[in-house]
Amino acid sequence: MELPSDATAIGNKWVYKIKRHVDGSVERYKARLVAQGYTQTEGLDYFETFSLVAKMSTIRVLLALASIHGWHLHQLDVNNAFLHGDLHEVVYMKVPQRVSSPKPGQVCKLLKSLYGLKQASRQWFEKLTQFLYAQGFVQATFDHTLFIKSTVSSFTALLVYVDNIILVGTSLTVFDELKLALHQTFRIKNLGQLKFFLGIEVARSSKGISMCQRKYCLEHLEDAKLTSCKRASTPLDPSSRLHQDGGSVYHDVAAYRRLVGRLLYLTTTRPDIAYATQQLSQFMASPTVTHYQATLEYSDTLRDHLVVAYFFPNHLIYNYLASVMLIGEGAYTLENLFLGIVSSLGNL
Amino acid sequence: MSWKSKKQNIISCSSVEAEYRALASATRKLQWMCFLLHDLQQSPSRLPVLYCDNQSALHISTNHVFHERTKHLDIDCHLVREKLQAGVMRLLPISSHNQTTDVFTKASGPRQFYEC
Repeated sequence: MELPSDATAIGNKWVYKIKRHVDGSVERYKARLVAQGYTQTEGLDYFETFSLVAKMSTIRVLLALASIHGWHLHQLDVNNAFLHGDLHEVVYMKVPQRVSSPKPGQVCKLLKSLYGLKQASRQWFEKLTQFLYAQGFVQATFDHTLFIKSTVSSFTALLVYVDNIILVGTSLTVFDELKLALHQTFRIKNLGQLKFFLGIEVARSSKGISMCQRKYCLEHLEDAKLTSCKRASTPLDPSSRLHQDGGSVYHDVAAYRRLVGRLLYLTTTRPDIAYATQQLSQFMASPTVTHYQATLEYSDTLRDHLVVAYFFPNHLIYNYLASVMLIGEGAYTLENLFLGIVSSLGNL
Repeated sequence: MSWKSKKQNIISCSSVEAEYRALASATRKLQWMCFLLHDLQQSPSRLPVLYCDNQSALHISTNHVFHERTKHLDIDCHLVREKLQAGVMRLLPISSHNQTTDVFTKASGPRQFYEC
């Protein structure tokens, strides 16, 4: 259609990707049309962009409950999720390359959302929410990415992380019905039992469920180029403390942030590295060479404990325990006060 | 299930105040988790317990007398007191020796680490 005189059209781009099998052979050639969302103007062609993702605590609570009650745990993936979102705003886009328009100077008016649009993620979540309501699910009040459906004979919980969905529940029949309905509406990839989710490996045995980030940890070490160097013998040195020192700022601040960011994500399953990560993350703004060195040294010690899994045993007595502790070693200055909280389901 | 290690971003006048703040923060988390479990239709058989290794902080949270030393505390910290009264949880002391959360607050050797 013709572009109205008071509107601007956003650009677009084809993105080509080669998807490979595990052995490296080509699975398929993928081309995706993405919109150049950075040219959008707030208040004109988008309003709200906030979109929810599941809290890690919720994921852990669900896994613990699944372990205690012996519930089924499945995972699925929605194909081209963002394309399903409806657009409430009027967005014009230039005609994609290699698509011929009948008249020159014409533009496309978008009806559905595209990858790259600012509101894509939000619109997709909205669409999915509507679908789940129609299926009889109720949105949980204390984590809005959790949906619950309970009948006399079955209980099903569904957790959404953008286009990844975890299903937890008592009945496989309900799972199958839901997957079928989802497939008919959105096209999904049924990944079966929950095994690998957001870089976390999930395994189940007769004793319980474990969560492990071994692969992610290896990637972190590779990123830090630490896979083949000499090992440090101690973790963070208890006798020395990191300070905001006057040393020269490390030349590659982004690299420091990336390393610490990876450590931060590792704390999802590893409370053991929480303290060190907390210490290191205080210098994100202006890391010095000392801080960078400390990060490398600390990451290096992780090699000895690559496979630390977080385990949810299934014999837990169902009660609750939480504890709190705080230290102020000697002084009450801002620097010395740290807060640690653990809450766990069942007996510690 | 949930853990946190964070530098407090407020200056405290005493170690008790800092402890009490941490307690309030844990209470909030605990309350959230109770709500979440309720959403998931799980009801705990017993009342949740919050352990704290600082006696003074325990006294502040159970004693309703307005202490001379706590008058400057932010109102949100007294959430602990309120939740205790409302019967959301129980508050019990724990010896520092058995404190699991030491992993989050100190650099420690590997032994202590993997024991807990």
